[in-house]
Amino acid sequence: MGETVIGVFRATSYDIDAIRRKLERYAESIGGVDKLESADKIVIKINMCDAREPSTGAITHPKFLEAVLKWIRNMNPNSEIFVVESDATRVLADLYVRWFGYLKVIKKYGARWANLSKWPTKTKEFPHLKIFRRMEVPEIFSGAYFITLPKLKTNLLSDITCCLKNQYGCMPIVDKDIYHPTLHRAIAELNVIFRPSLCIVDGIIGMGGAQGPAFGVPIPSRIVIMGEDPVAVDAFAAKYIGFNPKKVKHIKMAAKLGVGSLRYKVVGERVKKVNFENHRWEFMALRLGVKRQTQAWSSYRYSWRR
Amino acid sequence: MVVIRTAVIGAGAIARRGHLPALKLLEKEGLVEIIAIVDIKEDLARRVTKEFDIPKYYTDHNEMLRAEEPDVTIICTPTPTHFGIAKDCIEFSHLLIEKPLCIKLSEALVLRDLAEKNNRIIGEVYNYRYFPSVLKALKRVREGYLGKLVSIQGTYFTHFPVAWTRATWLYHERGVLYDGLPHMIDLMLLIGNGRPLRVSAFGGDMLEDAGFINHASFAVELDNRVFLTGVNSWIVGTSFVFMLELYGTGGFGYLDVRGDFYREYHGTRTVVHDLFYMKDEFINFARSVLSGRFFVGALAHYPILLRQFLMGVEKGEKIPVSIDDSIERLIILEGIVYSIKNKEIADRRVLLEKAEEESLKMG
Repeated sequence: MGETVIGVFRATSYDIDAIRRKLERYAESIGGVDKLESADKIVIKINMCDAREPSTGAITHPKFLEAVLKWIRNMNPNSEIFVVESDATRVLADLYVRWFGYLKVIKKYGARWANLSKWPTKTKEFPHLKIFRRMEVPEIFSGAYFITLPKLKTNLLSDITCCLKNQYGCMPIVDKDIYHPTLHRAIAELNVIFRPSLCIVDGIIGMGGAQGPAFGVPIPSRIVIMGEDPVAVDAFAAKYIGFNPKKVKHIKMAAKLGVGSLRYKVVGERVKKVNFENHRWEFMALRLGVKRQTQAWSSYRYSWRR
Repeated sequence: MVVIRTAVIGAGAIARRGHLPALKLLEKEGLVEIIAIVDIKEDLARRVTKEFDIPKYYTDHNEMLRAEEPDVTIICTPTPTHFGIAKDCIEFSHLLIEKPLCIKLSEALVLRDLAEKNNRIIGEVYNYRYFPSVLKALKRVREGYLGKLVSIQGTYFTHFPVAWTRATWLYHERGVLYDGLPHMIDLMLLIGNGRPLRVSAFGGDMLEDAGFINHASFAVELDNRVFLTGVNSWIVGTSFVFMLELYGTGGFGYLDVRGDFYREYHGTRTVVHDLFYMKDEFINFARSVLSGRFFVGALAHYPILLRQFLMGVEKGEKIPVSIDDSIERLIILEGIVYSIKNKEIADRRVLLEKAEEESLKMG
């Protein structure tokens, strides 16, 4: 795949109109907005990875969602908009959407909330994939213009959590951690199935440190990244956070599977590099800890066999 | 640059250890001129004049004010005398007053009105806010590294201040609250960035018959929904503990003000994190002991505090702690006393109304 264009701009706070104005300005330069203008159905996937308050940087800020909805409604007032997320090991989506203030925003802009774990699905075959050859795909995605609204975060297991990883939450199953042993491959394959048409990264409050994606350090990174290509956006995000995108396995795999390109051109504002407080020792120690935890749990669970 | 003619009232421990050495440094820079010192003990005043090479001393502050007409007067006498002296000085000069500003909230309201009437600036001395660890914690909180701040828990323990001063005026009815606690309240309000609405407290005289508060636990609700809780004591068996725990939605900060060290935890806290912090803390401690910083403590920050205040006065800029900030701090102190005495929650509005009434009576 060739070089794609991504837009980057600064946002010092969650000022809805300021974000909307910048989205308007930079959307033109990355292309694809005409499709959004004419879309009948739009699905927006937010990121709610845990019961964490928006100021922690762990979940898409409801004000960021509001800015995006306002922008979309301005150019496409009649489309049917769904804001989606699914239940997960640590996610009770129907509760969190109310607790953290999304529902009010969704109603304000005439959109609808959909819990993917409770939405009708259709079994689909993907013979060219390894993990998800056969999968229950929520019907909501069919014929929809799909926008992903991830956070800019580090992740103990996958190094970074951004556009590609956000589609992990498109799986309707609750026990999503069963794919953790093959996480990178799973993320890459899920992006073949749920490839977003537009990615807008909420990096205004990011998350750093080794305890992401839920309990890392809130980082005032003050940045928004947008683009049509999730691989390119993630490659930029990884570099910005302090990782080499070519060494982040799921980004590399997604590029290989044809989800997008690792080569990109940046348009927009000059952004300052921010320290995401990624300490190598902390990643190493905690990864070791997680490994031991998995072993200890399974050994305890099956101790009756001995 | 205009040289600010400065007089100091009170030649006790804090003047000799904090203000005068700092003023001498600023005098060298050409920012101030120390014109006189005042103390009711003539021997002490004379001795300090000689020690710090000050041109004149007085035993009566009114006499000094009329004779010298200073630009700025620094009051570092015992707290119960602050109000009376400040009232006399406000007509002649701007004031910098040692913490706590005065004993009662009503006195602070009178001073605020007098300052407004005479177009004077009143500042209060809070020097713990200049510790690098405090500045770091403040920066981290303001920039959002702890997410949204929810609560601050503070501890301030010292032993009875007999080693610091032989004076016994500290053992007035409000006792321990007017020793180091104002420093802790200052940091809590600085970091918490709100105004106190309600105060609740328990404690009092925990000795046989001391007649003053020597131990207190309190809780404060700020208008931005940050909650402060604290313990302040002269009787707990540690000689000097001053720490704040900062609880935010995004993490937990531990600020050891005395040790000048700030730790931050996010997510799971493990011994690995502690070990890394302990290494840094040990290096910091060793450096501060070897350099002597540890022993000088917060006194080392008087030059920066005085510079900020004096520059603020000269250029009409914001001063570190204004009379309005002092009133917020006094609302908490007064609220603690009220709550302990009346065994009920002290409300900001009630405290201010009562103080307004008293201040009107004071004229």
